[in-house]
Amino acid sequence: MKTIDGKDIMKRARQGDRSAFQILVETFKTDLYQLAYRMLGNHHDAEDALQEIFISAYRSLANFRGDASVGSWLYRIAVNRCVDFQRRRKTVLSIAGDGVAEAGEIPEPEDADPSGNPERAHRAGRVRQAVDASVTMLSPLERSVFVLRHYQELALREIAETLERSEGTVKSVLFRAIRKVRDYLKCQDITIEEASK
Amino acid sequence: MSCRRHQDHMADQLYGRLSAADRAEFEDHLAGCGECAREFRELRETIALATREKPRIDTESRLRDFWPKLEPALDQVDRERRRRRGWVRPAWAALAAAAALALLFTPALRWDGPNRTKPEDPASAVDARMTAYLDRVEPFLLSLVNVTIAEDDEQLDETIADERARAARLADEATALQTTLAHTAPLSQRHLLGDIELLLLQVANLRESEYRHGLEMVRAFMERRIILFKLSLLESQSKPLHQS
Repeated sequence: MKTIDGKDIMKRARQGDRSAFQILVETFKTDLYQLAYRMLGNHHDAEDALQEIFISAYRSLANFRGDASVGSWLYRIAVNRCVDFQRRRKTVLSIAGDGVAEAGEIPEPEDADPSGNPERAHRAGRVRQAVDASVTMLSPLERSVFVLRHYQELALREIAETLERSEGTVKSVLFRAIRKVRDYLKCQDITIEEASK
Repeated sequence: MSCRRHQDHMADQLYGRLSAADRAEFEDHLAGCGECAREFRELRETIALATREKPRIDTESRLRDFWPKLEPALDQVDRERRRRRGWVRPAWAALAAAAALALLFTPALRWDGPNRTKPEDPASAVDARMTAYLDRVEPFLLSLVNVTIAEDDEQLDETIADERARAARLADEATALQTTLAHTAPLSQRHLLGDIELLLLQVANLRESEYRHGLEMVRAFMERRIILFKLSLLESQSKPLHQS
């Protein structure tokens, strides 16, 4: 999680200093966009969510108490907004497909090597799609914890602070989430051996 | 030692949080328990696979113009804030002025001198039960108007549950009072009670996920039906003027 001199920036932003708020935005926009994309599964929703996250943060500047870091505070707003988004959304979209993949189509990951072996690329796409789909099957809390730990690479302590839950709870939720992902991959006949090929 | 105890150790070991002593104990267990060993291996591999396959995103091009797009929305927030601040005060001032005017021009309540007996006017009389109810419901309605919900309010669920329960109780009272006063209270008072009952039922049935939006709808309803104004007017009618 990124760190900045939160107290000073937040103080200035609360006093109406737009440039201080811009520093917050520029510091955290990439992390929060990645979080939104990984939670929501497509760029369109992620872009909308990012706007909502910073608008919510702007509205809530007065509520920042300073007992958590600015990063945790923003992540908490982001997770809440993304969970709201998930609830509002009627259909579950594939993460890798930017929400436009047709049934049966294997979308290419953004970092796929276009000069690579097509069969291998197809297999990699299938594995990635299965992993993405397994994450969409998780409950909002499990998904939040999973994404924060394994995609955003936050420590358990940071996740606990962000979600305002104990580390023990975070660990239990994460363990449950990993088991569900494992079970889903097994159902899809995805094995680590295949994924490693 | 049971496999159940080692489930906790497994979670800790997966995230590198097991002490050296517990790790040695856990590894001993795995050496003798095929099922736990398989489970641990699968989960560790799942984590490795999920981490390796995490979606990678090109944010650079997508976020290049983010701030210029965000700024108009922030301006809008500022404008709303200014409008709300500027609107609330005159609105309450207007409300107070209107209530005072209503007092002056309500014949039943106007004090015309020490020797004159105030005439009884059934059309404007307010039942004591109605007055008692208004005293209870008004603070709740004002709290609905004034409440601001923080984005990171960790006790929001509890607050909402409490508000909904209060609204349900007050709605029940409004229902009962309408029945009690069906033949005695003026039509305008019964209509007001009906509006309050409807409003409270809306609050009592707000879902957590739509609370903010629902609250806005309730406020709009209050404003449209000028409920607070009517309530204030009725309240002033129910209290006798003090003689100097």
